[in-house]
Amino acid sequence: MISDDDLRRASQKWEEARLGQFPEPEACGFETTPKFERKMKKLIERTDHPTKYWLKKGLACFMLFFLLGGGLLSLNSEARAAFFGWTRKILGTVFEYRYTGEDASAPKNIVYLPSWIPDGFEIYRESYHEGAVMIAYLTKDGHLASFIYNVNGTGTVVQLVSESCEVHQVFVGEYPADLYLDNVEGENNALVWTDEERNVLFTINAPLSEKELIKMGESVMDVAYSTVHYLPSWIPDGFETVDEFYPPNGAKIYYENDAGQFIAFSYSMNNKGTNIQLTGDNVEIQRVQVGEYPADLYLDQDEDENNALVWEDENRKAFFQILGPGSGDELIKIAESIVDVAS
Amino acid sequence: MLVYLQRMDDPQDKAKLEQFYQLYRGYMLQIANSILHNKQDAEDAVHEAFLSIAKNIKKFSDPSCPKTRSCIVIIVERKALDIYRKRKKYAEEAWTEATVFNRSESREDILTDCINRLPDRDREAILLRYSHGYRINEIAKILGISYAAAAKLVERAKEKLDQLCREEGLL
Repeated sequence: MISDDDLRRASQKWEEARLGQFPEPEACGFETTPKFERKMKKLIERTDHPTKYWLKKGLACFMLFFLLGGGLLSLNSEARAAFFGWTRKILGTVFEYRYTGEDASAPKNIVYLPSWIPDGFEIYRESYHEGAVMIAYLTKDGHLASFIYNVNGTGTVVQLVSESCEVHQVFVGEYPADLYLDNVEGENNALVWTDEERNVLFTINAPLSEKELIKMGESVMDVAYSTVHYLPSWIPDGFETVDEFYPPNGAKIYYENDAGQFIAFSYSMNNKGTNIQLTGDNVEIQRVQVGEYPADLYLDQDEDENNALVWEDENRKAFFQILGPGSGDELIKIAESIVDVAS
Repeated sequence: MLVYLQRMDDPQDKAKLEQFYQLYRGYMLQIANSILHNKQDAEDAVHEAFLSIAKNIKKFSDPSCPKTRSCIVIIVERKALDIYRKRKKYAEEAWTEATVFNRSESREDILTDCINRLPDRDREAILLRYSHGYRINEIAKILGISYAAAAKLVERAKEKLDQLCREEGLL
């Protein structure tokens, strides 16, 4: 067994040798095209991630891409319309919405979601972050739509970018809205409005007509979710939490140890069951018990592969899943240690 | 029409990204071009690399330190190889330039040589994990892959390295 210290020293030595083959960064000249410079300037100024980018890159890890910002304030811009504290600025091909008023609190245990989405669209990714929520929808033939809302004053900015579009004033229910109809074929249209009662800015970006966008906007409703999370109170020694996500009615937590092994714990209360993906060629499935509930234990016959435990807790109305390197008994021990934790 | 969502935070990060760009633009383009032999593709690779750097900007400390530079090399090579693979559909190993490494018979040198002989993807995983000390979730974010894929990548890379070490009599 090669020790981690040996590996660290050897890999550092390799990197030193590798770097020695390249000239110093300061000595590298390279003529760039104006197009590249424009792209890079945009990236540095906005450091953003369009929803289309998720689709193109197929990012497996979906998070709100909150990165850098503030740079746009330094650009020449023109405030064109202000309503309810959200100000729209037009910066060339960018329409930027920024809030400048008193902060509002993100609603506790409530999310706002459209109750109508066009046929063929299914939720592709969801991201719930205090003050900002983004749901991406995808059709089977690759059309992407997104529904976003930002709570007033929680530090987020929304930008719409279009090379050529028409802007119309419409209404979503009683609220005035900006409708963006893109002139480029195949590009999404967008609808942006503020909701004074809910203290949020809503944005829909989708390959939909004006009528459909407004219908989707007017279907937004409050959806309550559980105030309690179900989390394991026991995890094998050496594992620490490295990532955790708490979408409404569910959770996903990753634990990792120093050896690079990981345990993924998740549950979902969406009544859609749970998917599990095991890559092993030789998996044995056993029926076991987690407390009073029957569970499926997937034991990979390759001892280096992860095992999995999946079950439905009828009392909590949730589907649980644990994926990890432990034995079946260890996975069951984790499962039976789950407790209710108030959020 | 595209929609962007961003958080207004930390202008220091933006300044750091600008520093990266000024310092490494030519460096990264040269590396990408050495793999792709096409200026346009090299620019695309560098743009992709900067997207990854921007997403992980808080993980980088001093932009000019060797550790940061080494990480930049890993990222830009990865992006260039991804583009190359998509374009040519050939084995990526065919184009990566071998690192010149003068090996002695010390245990450390033999191990370093084993790392040198790993496929690029596996070597990147080993370097990020052991030389840079990143955790799996951080490696996943840097390489733009899922947590599970990153965990599997590191595990398999370690297995391949163990195999090479066994062949060399280190194990």
